Amino acid sequence: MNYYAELNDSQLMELVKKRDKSALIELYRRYSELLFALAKKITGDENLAVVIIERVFLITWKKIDFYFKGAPNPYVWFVALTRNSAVDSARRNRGSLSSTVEYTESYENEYIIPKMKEPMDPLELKLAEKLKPKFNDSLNKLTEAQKYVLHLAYYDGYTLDEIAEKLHIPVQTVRNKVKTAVYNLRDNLLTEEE
Amino acid sequence: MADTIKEMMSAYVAGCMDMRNLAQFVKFLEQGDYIPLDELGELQNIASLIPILLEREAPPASLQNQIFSQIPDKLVEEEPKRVKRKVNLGEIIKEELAEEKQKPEEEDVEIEIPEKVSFTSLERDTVVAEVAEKLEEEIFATKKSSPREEKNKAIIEEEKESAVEETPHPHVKIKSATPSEKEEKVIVIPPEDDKTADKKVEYEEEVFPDVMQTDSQKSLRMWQIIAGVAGAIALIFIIMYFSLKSTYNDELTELQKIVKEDKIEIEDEREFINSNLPLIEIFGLNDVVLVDLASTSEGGKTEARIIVSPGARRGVLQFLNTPKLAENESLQLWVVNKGQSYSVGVFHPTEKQKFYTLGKIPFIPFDEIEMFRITKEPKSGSEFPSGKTYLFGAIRIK
Repeated sequence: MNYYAELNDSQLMELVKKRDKSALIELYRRYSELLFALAKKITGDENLAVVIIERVFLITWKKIDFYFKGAPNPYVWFVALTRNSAVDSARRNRGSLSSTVEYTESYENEYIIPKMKEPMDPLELKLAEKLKPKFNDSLNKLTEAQKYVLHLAYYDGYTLDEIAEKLHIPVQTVRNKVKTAVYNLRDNLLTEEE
Repeated sequence: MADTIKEMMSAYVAGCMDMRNLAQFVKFLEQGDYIPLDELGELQNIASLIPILLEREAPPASLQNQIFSQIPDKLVEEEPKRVKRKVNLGEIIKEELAEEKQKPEEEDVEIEIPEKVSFTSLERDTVVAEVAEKLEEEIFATKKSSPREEKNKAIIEEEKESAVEETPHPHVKIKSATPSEKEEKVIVIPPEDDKTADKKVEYEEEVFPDVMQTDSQKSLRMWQIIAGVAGAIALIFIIMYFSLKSTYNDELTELQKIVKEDKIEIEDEREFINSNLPLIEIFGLNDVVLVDLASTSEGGKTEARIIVSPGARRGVLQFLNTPKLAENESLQLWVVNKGQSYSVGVFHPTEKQKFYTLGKIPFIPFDEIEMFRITKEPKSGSEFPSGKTYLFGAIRIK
């Protein structure tokens, strides 16, 4: 086993900060299948998903300082960065994001790069894998409506207003549904863990 | 914790905020006062687990190379290469210096042996003499002459005087030496550094015309160069000016467009706030009660809602489907207490206005209000209900 394969995700990110390309390659090896599946799920387009994964790893290389600005959390960084980037592409493709909004450096820093603040427990891919069965049970305990709203938000990339319009319900109801879904998911997972 | 904060955090981690709300939330986040960061972190972790359930799919094999070919290799690997290059370079320089040291000795030997110098033709010899003279002037102007150079100079001067005038080069007429003198001259022309002499000969064709230019020609040429450079700079500035002007015009137009759009947005929001102001104000009170009014006729589409604060005796009336009234008609809202109706206000609903302020609710304890009702009345309203009850409703929450 090579040196990098023995390091955890956080240690690899530390090495990326020190401009170690091999560390990023190891992270690519670990995360690329998950992130590619996520990007493809959101965009529904394999070519676009490829572009997004490329963007994610280049951002990680070029803007690693953003990662260390807040609470370093490799799993959330990669997943949220991929998800934000893919949703941005999906929104642009379906025209729900105004065409006057250009994809610039400052736009990327503001809206694409995830903000992670202390205190936050760092999550790694290995731990996320371990939590998978419990998380699956927790998600299955949500009502169908809660699951649907969560799916519309997370994977379809609809905003609160768009969900309200799509479901013909007030925005406040959507806010409430999203809140209930997220908090129930958390509570279910905590119960599962106990 | 306020539900609003929970809703904001949930919408943030689920990624369904629009750009404006997201920017606002990030601002709150940076301030760190309003958002419970530990709970937000927990929710971020939870939301990021959503894709862990996805079936994995490997990206194209070429993607890895495509990405990492854009990233430079690890610096620590490059360092030794650089050092190695330096070492190599050092060795090369050393070797070259060693060669340099050897060369003059060899060339000295060659130069000192006239047979080995290939200055056989007159033309070439006189050229060498002229070039040597010019270079000599330049060198001697800044450098004190060595005895050997002084000797050379003297010999050249002597040659000039005794030489026959010929035209060895198309650009200039010079004096040349006799064959015997020529040999001698070839030996003495080079200064102590023999390589210099060799190079002079080698590049004489290029150096010669410039060397032979007069001061006035040089000056003229210099001014021509200066004028050319100045012209080129001026041209660049003109091109830059027009290019920048065009760019700035485009940017200005774009900015004007953005300002115009923002103005429209602000105007829309102002209108929205104005039309909803009564509602915003009433929600600022902490004892708000909601009363839904339904139509008395079966299938009647018009509905209304009263949002009222018993403590402040203020409220807002909202028509959910604006009723159509004749010119001389109005709707009058009443509270009913012990069978008696008391007027709350007369209204002429329009489609544009959504909310109507109720400013004079009678002093009746709210738990004694039996119902609210709305009747159709003449335009100026009535002292007592005279028309048929149009909408009615009881207090739902006490």
